[in-house]
Formats: sequence, structure tokens, C-alpha cells
Amino acid sequence: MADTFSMADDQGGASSAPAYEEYEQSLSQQSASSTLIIVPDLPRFDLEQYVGNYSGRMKVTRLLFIGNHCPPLAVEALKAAISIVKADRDVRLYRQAVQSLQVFAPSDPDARLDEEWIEKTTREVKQKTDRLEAELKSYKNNMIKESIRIGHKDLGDHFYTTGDLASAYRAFSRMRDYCTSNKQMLDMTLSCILICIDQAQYTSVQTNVAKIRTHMRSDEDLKIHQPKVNIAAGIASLAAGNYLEAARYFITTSPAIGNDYNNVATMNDVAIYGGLTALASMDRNMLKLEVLESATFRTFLELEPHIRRALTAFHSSRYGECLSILEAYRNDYLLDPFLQKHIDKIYEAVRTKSIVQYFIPFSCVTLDAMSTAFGVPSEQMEKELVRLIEGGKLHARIDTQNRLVTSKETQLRVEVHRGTLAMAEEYERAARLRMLQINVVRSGLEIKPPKGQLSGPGPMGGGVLGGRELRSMMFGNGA
Amino acid sequence: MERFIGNVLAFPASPDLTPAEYNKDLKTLNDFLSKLPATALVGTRDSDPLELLDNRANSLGILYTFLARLSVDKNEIHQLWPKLIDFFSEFDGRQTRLSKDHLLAVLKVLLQFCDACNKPILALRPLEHTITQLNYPTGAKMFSSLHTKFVKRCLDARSFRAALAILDVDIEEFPVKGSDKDVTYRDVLQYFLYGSMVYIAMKKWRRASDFLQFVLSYPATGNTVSQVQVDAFKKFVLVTLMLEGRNFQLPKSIPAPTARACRTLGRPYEAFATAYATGNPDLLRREAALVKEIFQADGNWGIAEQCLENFRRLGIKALTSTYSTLSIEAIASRDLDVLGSKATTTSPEELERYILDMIDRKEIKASLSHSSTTGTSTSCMVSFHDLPASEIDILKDLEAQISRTVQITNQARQLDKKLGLSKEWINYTSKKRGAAGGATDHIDQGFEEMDDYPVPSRVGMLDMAALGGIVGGGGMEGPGFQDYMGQYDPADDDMQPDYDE
Repeated sequence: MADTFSMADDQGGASSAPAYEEYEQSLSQQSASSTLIIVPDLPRFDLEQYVGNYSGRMKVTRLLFIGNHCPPLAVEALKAAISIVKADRDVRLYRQAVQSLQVFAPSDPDARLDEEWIEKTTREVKQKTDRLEAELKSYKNNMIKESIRIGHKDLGDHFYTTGDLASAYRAFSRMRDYCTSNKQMLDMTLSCILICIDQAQYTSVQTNVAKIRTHMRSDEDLKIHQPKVNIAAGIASLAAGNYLEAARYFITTSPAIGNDYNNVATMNDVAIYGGLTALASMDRNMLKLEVLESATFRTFLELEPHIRRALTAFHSSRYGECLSILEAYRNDYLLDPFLQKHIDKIYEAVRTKSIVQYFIPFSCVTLDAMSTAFGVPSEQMEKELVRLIEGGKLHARIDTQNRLVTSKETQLRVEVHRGTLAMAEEYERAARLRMLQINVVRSGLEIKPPKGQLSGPGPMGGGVLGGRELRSMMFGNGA
Repeated sequence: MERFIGNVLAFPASPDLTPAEYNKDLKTLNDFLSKLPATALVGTRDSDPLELLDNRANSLGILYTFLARLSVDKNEIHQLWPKLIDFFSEFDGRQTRLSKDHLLAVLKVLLQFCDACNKPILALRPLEHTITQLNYPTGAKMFSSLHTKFVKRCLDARSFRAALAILDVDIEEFPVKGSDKDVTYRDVLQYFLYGSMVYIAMKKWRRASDFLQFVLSYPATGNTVSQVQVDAFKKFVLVTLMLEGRNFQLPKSIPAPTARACRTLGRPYEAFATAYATGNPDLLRREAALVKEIFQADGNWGIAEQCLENFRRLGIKALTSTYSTLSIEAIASRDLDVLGSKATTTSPEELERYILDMIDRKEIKASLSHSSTTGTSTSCMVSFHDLPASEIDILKDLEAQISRTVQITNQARQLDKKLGLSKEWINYTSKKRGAAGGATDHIDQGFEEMDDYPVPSRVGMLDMAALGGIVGGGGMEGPGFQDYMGQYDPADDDMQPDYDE
């Protein structure tokens, strides 16, 4: 998502060549490039149907995203995107889409920049911008709050559809001073959130989410806006890598949202995001209580039955099955602008958790049994296990001679004793140190500045620390 | 002359005098001796007081004789020094405590003589005995300028073991403000720095770290930082690496100005520690080569080398928690030996000896097994086991720790009491009371309550954890409590302490 737009910005100006070259390079060295993920196979979904679920800018975003990351679908996706951006009169995205298309289908009629259209549209957009700005100016002169607000709103909408997101955000935030009702405030902040999501500025999403919470006063507001806010907050948490928080947001989203927030995420997306983040961050009990038994989230899960199956498989300890389900859908998720950067981390977390959970009931497992259960060669399994053990996530030891994984015996009693001993020693040391310090001060033996530059208290330096300070030295820091 | 000998010999009239009577007689004798002219004390050739009197039983008389002789002729030290050493190694601190100045003066002459002969080892035994006898009955627990001199000479004489007799006794008191002009903050800082150096030489890292930590967290007026602290910081970094291995971080008790100054001046040390903490052998080797000269100039390269040596031990130790069996070859291929260069990989045979050595030192518990010879090479497997934990041993440790904790808690309470009676605190509370219109000070009350806290006779096992978090949780009145309070009158903070009178 982020690079989609940085690209859009780069290529909007005259300096489109470098970014384009970079792109081509990454295509030629697919394996070496880590910046751009390419999905060489077809995903499981049908493009037309998939994109049909979205509305607004998100539709274009997703199409372009798929176009850039999935060569088999690129031509179809980019062509669809071009027709939409043309209708929206978004010149920047148009250039970008056409350039991407040139890579995949240079001979396609759509792959040539329609200079005439660009010129015409740029002019039209400029005219409209000027007209709206002039209108706004006159509203401002009239000093009518409501008109000024609408003026800003029209301008913001105009910028938004034509792709100038920064200006759109500016226009919308200026509305704040002219909002007279709570509803206007809510609408305004929601628009801001939407733009921030489009710009991939997730910290701004979070601040706007915090702002909007203070404005949701009536139950009615709550019912209408809560799901949207939840989804936005969830996406922001997901982007920040805070999977547990993200999972909680998605799970508690009300299914009443329907298709209202299709310009960000469909209900299917909520099910996928929620399911994956929950798998990555929750243990079996939490999964059962908070996800599988959640009345609200069930509706979402029914839309994506494989996520449900993965969750159930994990909960009933069929980890291999869970992982293979997730693996089967990897391509789909790699083509999701919000998930792409996190999918590896999420899968990794699920895998780690699976191994740890798998091992819990055993005291000894052969490496081969584990590698078949997780479907990897045993050398790789061993490396993975070593990493987990060294990271302190798995309490086990590897027997390289007999190829066994044995659990560590934990002697709770001894551990508690050792812990107590260590704590007591620490206490003793700290107490001694503090008492020595206090005695030093009491005897007036503190380090003093050289005589020449003595400032302030004079020879009775000890007097600076009053009794209270002495006592707080002793008790303050939990001696 | 005869009267002098007679009086001195007659001094402890009987071995079972009460302290009060003993003090009275001692005072009379002291007054009598201080009035005698030097000529009377020197004695004649056929009746030498030093021959007639016993070092231990008649310490006071001997002290005055030495004083007189040295005041008559300074050069007599060349004949007297063996006798002086004997005297200072044997004398009875109870007798000399009214004439501390004389004692220190004579000792000073002896020390000067030892220094002039460049034989610091001669001064060790006398100094050690004097420290224990000087502030009778607290002994070595009360800091004196002799402490620093003693440890310094132990370092000079390289007899570290001798220093432990004094170093192992925790300092609990410093001379009361203004009572001892000889003691400055430098002496205290140096004592603890030298002490830590002794402990480093003895490889007692924990204790060394405690000493250094005290130096680093030494109270200061304003933003003043002592050079001693900077030196201590450098050693502290390395000692911490020895102790904690890869998790190096500075303790929070160090005041911000000190920490800042130390970090600026000790930057190479911190860089070394950071490289160590990464656990990356190449990085550590590079860093070690960079800082070697600086460390050598500071005299700290020896500890750094031990840290580097320890790196391999830690690496092997870490393996024990990951593997239960591993072949020697696999360990050898891990590049843990940072002392050598990367190119010279350790041979399996050498590593085998190394691991055997670690097993001998009980650092790890493991067994080696040679499998059947295949061709020319034998492969050796190492099986790691858990370190055995005997519950009885741990319980014994816990018991010892409990009594120490109780003791320290008692000390804390006594100190708190003293602080509560100190001028500063009383001024502070009375001012506060005045301001609040006579309202009771709740902080004060809180501490009062703590003093009345029900005192269990023995702290139970389960209370240990609770004790870790609170001060003054409970404990027993130690037998030394009365003595301790008796020698110190808390009402007059600035007055010289009066002993058992």
C-alpha cells in the first residue's frame, strides 16, 4: 500500500523514469528483490467478483495493487483500474496504471498514455479547483459557518476523487472549526480516517480514531460508527504489528456494518484480518472464548469458512492442518494491501505458537515426527527449534545423537527457592548500598566541588539533604 | 621510673572489673602517664620498660614508652621497628582508646619507615590489627583512614589474601561529622576502589561489583564527579560483563551526572560491552583489537582478557540449554573462541579438554562419550545434563540468607531511628508541623507505626519473598543491639561519640 502511493507520487511528476526503472529491475530479479513481493501464481479468488465488493478509491487501490504484484492478473486488473481512474479524472493514478500496464502488455491500446485526455482532465480539474476555492472564499467573506463548512467539504471531496490526498486531508481538517453539530464532526473525522488509510499513514489513523471516540455520544452514533471506527483502528494496529490489539478490534466489530465500509474493507476482509491476527496472537483458550464463541464474529467467519476451519484446527490441536490451510491461501493474502507486509510475520507467529503448543503434552518427541507433523525437512525443523529454544519460547532440548526433542524438566520448588534467594540477595545488597550512602551523607563525606568554585551551601554540605531526603533515600527506591 | 612500671603493671586490678570500674582506672592511669616526663618513660639500659612490660596486657604503658623514645630521638625507629610491629600486631584496643592520637602518631612513624624501606608487606599485620582495635568495640566496621592505607599497601605488596580480613567486614559506620579530619571522601572512594581491585584479583566478581557500585553511586553535592568514580566505572563495566555475561546494563542507582561523566570518559568500555552483548564473535574481536591499547593504558586489559575468555564458556553454557547431546565437531564449528583469530579454529581435541575442564569446575554438567572409531577419526558426543540442585543445599543457603536479611533489616531500622532523631529531620518535621498548624505529620506517624510492628521471633520461610520487597518488615533484636546504640547518642548528631561512660 505504502509503496503503491509513493510510486504514484513519484510518477506523477516529470521524474517518473527512475521509479519505473527500479520497478523493471525488481521484475527481472524477482528472487533477489525483497522490496516488491511478486505472486507468480493465480490467487484463489475471481478478480471481477473480488473487486466488485469494494467501492470508491479502495477499488482502484486494490486493482493497482494486484496489478503490481500479480503478473497473471496484471493486465485484467490494470485495464479495469484505468477505466475507473479515467472516470474519476485522477491523472496521477492514470499515469501510474498505464506505466504498469506497459510492462505486461505493451501492445494493448490502453497501454499508451492518452496525452490529450491528460491535458484536458488536468485543465478541467484545475478549473474545478479554482471554482471551488473561489466559492469558498466568498463563503468566508459572508462569515456563514455552515457555508464555509460545505465549501471545505466540496473542495475536499473534489481533491479526494482526483487523487490529491494531501490537499483533501487539509481541506477536511479545516472543516473542524466550522462543524456545529456532533454528526458533522463525526462525518468529518471519518473522512479524515479514510484519507489516512488511503495514504497508509496509520499513526494518523490512530490519532483520528482517538478523536472520534470522544464524539460518539449517543447510542445511535455508537451503533452506526462503532464498526467503522473498529475496522479503522484494527487496520492501524495491524499495520503497527500489534496483532492482539488488532484481533480484538476486528472481533468486536458488529456485523451490522454490511457493505457500508466497502471503501476500506469488506466483511470478508474483516473475517480474514480478524482470524489471522487472532491466530497469530492468542492461545487456544482465548481463541475458543473470544473468537470461536463470539456471537458477533461468527457472522463474519461464515463468509470465510476456511478461516473458520483454520481456527478450529488450531483449537483442536491439528496444527499441520491449520498451517496447510493458511499456506493454501497465502497468495490471496499477499495480494491484500493491508496484509502483504505482515503475512510472513503472522504465519511465523502462528507456526511458532503451533510448535510450542504441539510440544506441550510431550516429554520427548523424535525430530522426524515433528517434521512430518509440520511438513518440513528435519534439518529445517531442527533449525527452527533451535531458534525457538534460544529465543526462550520453547522449553526443550535437542538430542542431536538420537534425533530427539526432550522437554526440560522444570523443578518448580528449586526454581522458587532460587528465585527467592536471588531476590533476597538483591535486597540485601541494595539495602547495604543505601545505608552506606546515608552514612556518608550523615558524616558529611560527600564529594565536594574543588574549593575554588564552591557555590551555595558551604562546608556543611550535609545540611543540604534534609532529614526527609535522607529517609527517602532509604525507602524511596524500594531498597 | 619504678612507679611508672608499677602503676602500669598494676593496671587491670583484676580481670573481672565492670566496664565502669575499668574505665575509671584506665582514665587514672592515662592521666598519670601523660603527666610523666619523657625521660622517666624512656627507661635505662638495665630496666627497659619494653622488656618488662607485655604488649597485650600493658598496651598503654608500652605505647607511652614508644612515644617518649621516638620523641627523644627520631632515628631510634631503626632499632625499634621489629618491636613496634610486634606491638601493633598485639596491643589491646581497650587500653589505648583514650590516647588514640598518640597511637596514630606512633603508627605513622612506623608506616613512614616501612615506606622508606619500600617494604609495604611489613605494615600489613600492624595495620590490620590496629584497624580492628582502633574503634573498639565496633572495630573494622567503622571506617577510618587506616582502611585505605591498609588496602593500598596490600595492593602494593600484592598480598590480596591478607586484605580480605578487613575487606570482608562490611563498613557500617563512618566517623561522625567533623570528628576525624583525616578521613575525606577521597579516602572512602579509594578504599572501595582498591577493595574492588583486590576482589577482582581474587576473582570474587560479585563483591567487586558491589564495591564499585558503591563508588559509582556515592553521594555528591551538586554535579561533582570524582576521577575515582570514572576509574571505577571502567572496571565496573568489565566486572559486570564477567558476572552477567551478555546482559550488560548500568544499574539505576547511579546518579545522572556521574553516569553522564563516566559514559563520556569511558566510552571505549561501553562500546566493548555493547559488542560483547551482541554475542557476535567477529564484532567482539574487532572491538577488542580497537580498545586494547586504551585498556592497557588504564590497566584494565587483564580483566578484559578474562571477559573474552569467558565468552567461550558462556557460549558453551548456552548450548547446554538448547541441546542435550551435541558432537564436539559441531561445537568447534561455532566459532566461540574470541581470544584467537577466526582463522585458527580450535581443534576438537583441544575443545574436548576445554569442556572437560569446565566439567571439572562444575560450570556445566556433561559427559563425553567416544563412539566407535570409524576409519581414522573418532567422533565424540557431549551429553549435557542439568546442573544438580540439591534442595538441602538451597535450604541451607536460604537459612543463611534469612538471618542476613533479618540483620540488615534491623540495621535499617536502627539507622531510621537515628535519622528520625537527627537535627535535620527534627527541624524538618517541626517546621512542617508549624506550617500545618500543629497537625500531626502522617509520614512521621507511618514510621512510628513501623517501629511498633509486631516482631516475630523468627521469620518464616514464606515471609522471605515478602521481605524482599519491604524494609522493616520484621526481625529480631540482635544481641549487639544495646552496644550499638550505647556508643552513639542520637540526640547530638554533631558530638563526638562517648563510649561506655
